[in-house]
Amino acid sequence: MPKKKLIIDGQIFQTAARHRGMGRYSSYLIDALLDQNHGYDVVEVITTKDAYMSTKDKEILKGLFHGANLIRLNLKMVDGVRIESTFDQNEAVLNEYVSAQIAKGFKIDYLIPSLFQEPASVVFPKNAKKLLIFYDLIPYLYHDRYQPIMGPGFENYLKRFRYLFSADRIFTISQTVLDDLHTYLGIPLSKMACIDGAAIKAKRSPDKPRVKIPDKYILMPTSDDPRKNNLMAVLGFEEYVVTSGDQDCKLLITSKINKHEQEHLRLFSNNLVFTGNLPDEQLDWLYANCQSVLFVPEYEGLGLPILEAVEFGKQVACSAIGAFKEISEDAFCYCDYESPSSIAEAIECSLRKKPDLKKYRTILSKYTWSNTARRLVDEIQRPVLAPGDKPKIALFAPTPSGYSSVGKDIIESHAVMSEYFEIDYYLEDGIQKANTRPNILKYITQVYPAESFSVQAFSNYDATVYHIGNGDYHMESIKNALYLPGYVIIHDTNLSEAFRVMEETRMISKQRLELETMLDQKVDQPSCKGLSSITSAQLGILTHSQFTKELVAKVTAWPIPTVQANLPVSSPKLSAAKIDSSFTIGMAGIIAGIKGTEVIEAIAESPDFNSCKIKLFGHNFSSKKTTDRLNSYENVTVSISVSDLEFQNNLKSLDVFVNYRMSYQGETSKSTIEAMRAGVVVIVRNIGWYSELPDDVVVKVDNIDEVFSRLHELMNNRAELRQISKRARDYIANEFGHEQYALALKGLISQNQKDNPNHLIASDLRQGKIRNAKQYIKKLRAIT
Amino acid sequence: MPEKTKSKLSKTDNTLKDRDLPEGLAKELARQQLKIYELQAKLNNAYGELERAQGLKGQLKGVYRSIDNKIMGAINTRGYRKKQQISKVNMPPISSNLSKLELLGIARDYDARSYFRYRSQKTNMKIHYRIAGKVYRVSRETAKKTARKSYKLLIGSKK
Repeated sequence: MPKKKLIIDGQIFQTAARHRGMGRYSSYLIDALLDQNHGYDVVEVITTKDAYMSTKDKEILKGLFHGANLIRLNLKMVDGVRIESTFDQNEAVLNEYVSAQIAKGFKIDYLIPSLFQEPASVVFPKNAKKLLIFYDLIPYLYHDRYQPIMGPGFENYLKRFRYLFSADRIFTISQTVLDDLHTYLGIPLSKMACIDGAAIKAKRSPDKPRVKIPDKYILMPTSDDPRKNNLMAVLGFEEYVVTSGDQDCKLLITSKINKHEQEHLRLFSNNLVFTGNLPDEQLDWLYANCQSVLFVPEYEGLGLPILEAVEFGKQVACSAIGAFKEISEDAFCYCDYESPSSIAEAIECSLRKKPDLKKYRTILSKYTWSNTARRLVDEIQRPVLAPGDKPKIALFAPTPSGYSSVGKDIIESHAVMSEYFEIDYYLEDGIQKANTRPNILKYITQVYPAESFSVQAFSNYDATVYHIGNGDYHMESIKNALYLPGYVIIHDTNLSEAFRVMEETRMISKQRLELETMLDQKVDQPSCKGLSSITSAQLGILTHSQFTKELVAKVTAWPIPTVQANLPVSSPKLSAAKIDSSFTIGMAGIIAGIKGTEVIEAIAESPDFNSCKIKLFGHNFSSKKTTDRLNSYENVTVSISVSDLEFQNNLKSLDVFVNYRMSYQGETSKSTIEAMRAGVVVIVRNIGWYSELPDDVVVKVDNIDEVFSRLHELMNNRAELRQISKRARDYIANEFGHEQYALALKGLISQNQKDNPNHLIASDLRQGKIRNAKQYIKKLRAIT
Repeated sequence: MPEKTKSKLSKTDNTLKDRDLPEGLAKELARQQLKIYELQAKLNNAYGELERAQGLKGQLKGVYRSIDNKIMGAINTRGYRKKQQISKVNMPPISSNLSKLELLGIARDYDARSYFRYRSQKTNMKIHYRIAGKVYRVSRETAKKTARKSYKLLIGSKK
């Protein structure tokens, strides 16, 4: 039996981050791991020769990990060189090292405690079980803020995602982070495990800091990171001081805050004390002697300051965000981080209310380093499934950074899809370029421009898959689907807009458009336009509803294998943390008349719903006049161009989501599915795909009047609201996963094509028997 | 009134005003603060760039890059064929008397003739520009290597 060796990448301890959150977390975890019965014969910590370290630093590093061997390798850091060259060199060095260990009879597990910390270039070697600790997705989720701040470093950050996607097992520091990876990147649950973390307490006893400390203070551990929400915290604190008259109380702000930020914050309060970075024992002293702890960031992966406050038995005023609610649903004073008044109330609560020590003990017994290390060891032991047979496919789709929601879908489904297929993406930008989210696909897999596809490329794949929708993000997809038989995924049954833009951009001629219109008249299905020539040229069709499946069967010239699968989403485990008690109604996604803005406006106008909040959010396709008019209602908020994170947060804040389509074109509503996943009750028009949803997971209406009456009922019957919410969540979690989708597509691709004439064309194209249009037409005529 | 007290008072006055900020304005302030962060980060980057550019080596590199960009840019833009237009194909006359299958047949025939492309568009540079580009790139790299070697020899001999 081979001996087992755990190799830990220790480059993080050679960067400035060794004193900060990730570095401290990693060192405490590894320390606790080495104290456990970890089951390894040898544990090694790898460091690089490329980092400058003083003799003292080297001594500290050696002393960090008792029981582990420190190995120095010729790993390259990202310091004025392209990150790809460091990846190549470091992979080569590690592969060589790991191969030598395997030759000595070891089985290798390779653990990366921190993937993204510059200037370290952290990579996985081949032939080892790849293990990764993951802290948060913050720069990706807040890309609009972090991209300009990080500059060229942001692209390096995205380039490291390839190792996130290639990890065999990922260990997250909270369920919130695990949910984020699952929701936004579609990482399968089977690959991940939450291992939590614990408070960091100095090994030495608390020591009073040298700076002048006020007698009465609230401790605010923070940094100058924009998501820390410092300004709102200060405004909230000032509101507390003014309303309570508690003039003696000061706000003590720790960590390094840059000079400009300090000056800016001081403009709003004379009651601030900045301590700068402090050693652990001095920080402990501040925790031990504070009145309470204030921590109101917009987002955190875990929230070590809260665990540290609990350790010292201090009450906490914190934001009602997922990571903190996960620690305890009700042990702290929660607030809306966007509202100074709410923060002031939470501060007042934290000073008035004594901590519930029973709950604190429960928290402390769960969040210990030994528990975290134990869970890590247990999870590492779980076997990694070997990949099965993977067909190689070309997949046409809109670029993920664009406005099309299909682009978002392909990012979210890539992790699971790549377990079933070897995928090359052919992406198209559409007419209007956008930057709705970073296109990570180009950093983690093969991506080509859609216009580069050809017969020769087609012959390299086992199958070609086309996402077909009604917009300019699908033009290349439609063009190729018309003559290269593959598998179409139908997102809309009315493709008139896509064909109109194709004609406008001269991708098809006017005559061809007329021919398509004539075909539409022949098939005589009002909600179906431009579909018959596409579907008739395929090897298979995937639809998201029975409605579309039946329609496709009617318009297609001969029987083509067709399967139905649910448009997939990942379902997070944690439910939404809603703090606002007012009844909130919303509409989301594309803000346009066809999607039902008129209905929302009618609700806003109705005096019956004056007490409700109404939110519209997503991408705006209506006129400025319309959005201004909507915004003019007192209880309506319109948020346009929201990020994915803002979109999901807005969705979670709703009680009811109204999705009353004025006209229906065979589409499936992603925002409806996402709202149901978040446990929001959706009112839908009883038509097409919506009517196929089970009656007890949404509220179906036949006309606008019914929208109002059902809204009334739901407002007055919160028990029913909760029941529908729970059923909706369960339904989406059980039926809409990415696996069912990948399996449906794989099943479709493997279906027998004997009776499908398009199969003969595809086969000849693949075998190189058709090399020009003349040969193609000859074959076409022979088979039809 | 002493100047220091005056400035302190005016600051307190500002602080008091800011305390009464309505929530919307407070959010706006937070957004503005974020913009300041971004601008600061950009400014820092720009300073870094400037410092690098001010050295003699940096300036030389800058000149080299601008010339190189101009040459490669010219080769690429002049040599690149315009995006492949869909070839104009004649369509037989169509009428509403034709059956669905007949119309589909015409459509597929037309689509094949319009869109059929055997090879990828990757090799879409005009041939003589491709050759010119290749010759330029090879000679550039050779020149760079020679320059580096001579520099090493020169410096090495001095040492």
